[in-house]
Amino acid sequence: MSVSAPPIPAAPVPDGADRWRRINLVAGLAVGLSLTILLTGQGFALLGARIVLLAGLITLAASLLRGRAHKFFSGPSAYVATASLFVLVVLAIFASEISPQNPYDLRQLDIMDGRLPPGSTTFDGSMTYHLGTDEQGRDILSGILYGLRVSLSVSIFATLAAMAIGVVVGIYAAWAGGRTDTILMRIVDFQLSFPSILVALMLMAAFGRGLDKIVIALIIVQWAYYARTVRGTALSEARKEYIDAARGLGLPDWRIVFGHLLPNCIPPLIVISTVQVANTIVLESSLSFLGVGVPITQPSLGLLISNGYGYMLSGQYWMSMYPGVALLAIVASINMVGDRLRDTLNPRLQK
Amino acid sequence: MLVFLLRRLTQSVFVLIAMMVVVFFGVYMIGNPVDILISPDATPAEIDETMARFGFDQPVYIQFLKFVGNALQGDLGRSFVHGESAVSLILSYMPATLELALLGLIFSIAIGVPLGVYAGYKADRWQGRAIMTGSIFGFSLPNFWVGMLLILIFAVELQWLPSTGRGDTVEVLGLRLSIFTADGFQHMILPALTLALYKASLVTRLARAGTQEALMQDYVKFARAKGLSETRILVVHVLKNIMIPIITVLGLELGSMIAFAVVTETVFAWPGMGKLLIDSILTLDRPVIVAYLMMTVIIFIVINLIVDLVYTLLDPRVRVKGSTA
Repeated sequence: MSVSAPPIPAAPVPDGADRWRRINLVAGLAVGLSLTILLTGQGFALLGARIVLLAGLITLAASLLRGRAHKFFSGPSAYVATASLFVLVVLAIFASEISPQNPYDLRQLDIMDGRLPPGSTTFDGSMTYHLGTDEQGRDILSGILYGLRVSLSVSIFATLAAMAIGVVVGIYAAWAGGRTDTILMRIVDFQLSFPSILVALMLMAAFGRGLDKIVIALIIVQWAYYARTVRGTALSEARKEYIDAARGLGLPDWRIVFGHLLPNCIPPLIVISTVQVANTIVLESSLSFLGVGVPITQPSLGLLISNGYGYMLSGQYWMSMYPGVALLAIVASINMVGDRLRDTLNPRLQK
Repeated sequence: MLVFLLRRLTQSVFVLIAMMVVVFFGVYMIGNPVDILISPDATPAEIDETMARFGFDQPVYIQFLKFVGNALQGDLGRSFVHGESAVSLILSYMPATLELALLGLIFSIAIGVPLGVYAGYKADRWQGRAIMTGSIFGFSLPNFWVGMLLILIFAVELQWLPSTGRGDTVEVLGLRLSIFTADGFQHMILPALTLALYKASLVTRLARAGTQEALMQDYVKFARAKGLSETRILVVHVLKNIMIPIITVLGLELGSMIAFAVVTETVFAWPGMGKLLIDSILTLDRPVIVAYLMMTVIIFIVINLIVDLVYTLLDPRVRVKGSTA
């Protein structure tokens, strides 16, 4: 047998990876675009944007589980968690279409309907309050749907932004090394030595309440986790051959970092960020419960619970109990999906 | 060892200085404290007078130096609301929080260790899986929501336990404590349980992992060969070996217990440091907020220092690295 020249690489096995990459890109763009439309309230097709958003999210989730769905759905708890997460996300996205009342619109509220138990009808009998009303006559069900939207969007946005900052800092620290690395990681260690709820509480005490402020506080609280995780991944990835190969090709640093290192540092973050969204929801609702979170005009689930809390001791449980159940459902289902994702995507368990 | 200790101490001092800067500029510089101190219809002369009295008319760096100087003497200002020194105010609220956190730790061990050992013993059976799924709920349940549920069940529906306040207290070694009176202990059960639940699921996971590992060790095989009962192996041999890491981790978590107590104390109207902090934030009582922050930072620095020292004493590898580096 003679040593021949290395064989010309055959065409890559058509496993659809390329097609999925394109689909991912389109879905991601669709999600981003529809979110922009929804958040700015611009444009006429809000319902359309919501449908596009949902479709985009489903596509992204499907591409994440592509080829591993069998492994992910092992056992009943995975089905239950995925189904309930799906339902809750749909409810949050279409809150304004589904909910029987707009809880922010004061004209729709009637103080005569205040503190009605579940199942009562309005003063004029036109609508049923399936989960009762709060002290201002707001329908609890509608409040929950809108609150779910606030809780979810605040947490997801804060988590994504914190992840972006963490990734940049982590990769920069790993790539720069030396003194920069030491200083950045000292800051990270310093921040992580304090419990996040305490840091967030302090920030909110300094900022005052507000949607933008709580998002900023949640970002500041979280970025350090990602920075540390990404730095670890980046350090081990940077030693691998493909980085040497890229160097050998004479690529500039920024191309190596953004084109080669960065994409390989992202996958471990997917699981972390899923669980982190749940933690952020809990943190946000705790802050809102303490009265330093979202403003009264845009209640999240935590604030709804806090509003009804005063009436609970007198037996009017529905005002804080049902928002509490919704909070529990969303947090538990995200955590369970995250747990399954960890088992499914963990690179150490693959192969 | 001494070098290591000195290095750590200098680091702590730097952290403290950094925190002072952050706290001062964070809390004192945002917004104008005069707005809170003076009624809106005060005359300009009155405003100037108050500004001068609190030193707000001076340049920022002088205010900061004054703040640092006073802080070094243990003076972090007077509470606007209580009219007392902020530090002594917090110190008077501290015993309530500490006893709550301590009872919480004890509860979390009492709940978590048996569940975890059992889950580790039956790791692949439904019992083990059920406990692990349950511990996810322990992680996911927000602290205040657990407290609310407990109040609804045990205080409102069953009326077994009181839901708010501290109950009777008794003076022990100069501290007012609830834990030693029957009424006070009843008041503590629900808040301590609430505080314990999150840590209990952490302990469950630790104990499960420890048990699974310990069951594969030779000493367990040997104990089985001797014909000891499974219960005895688990309770005597396994438990003894998994407790050390669990206690260490929980010691670390004492600080975060104190932080989480903020939420629990608010739910149960427990008059501790956390409740004081929330009330101070809502009434914009800045000296108390600052004092709470500085004292918590000191508590955390001390805890971290102790943990590092304990690790150094227990683990020779850390010692070598620490003293040569």
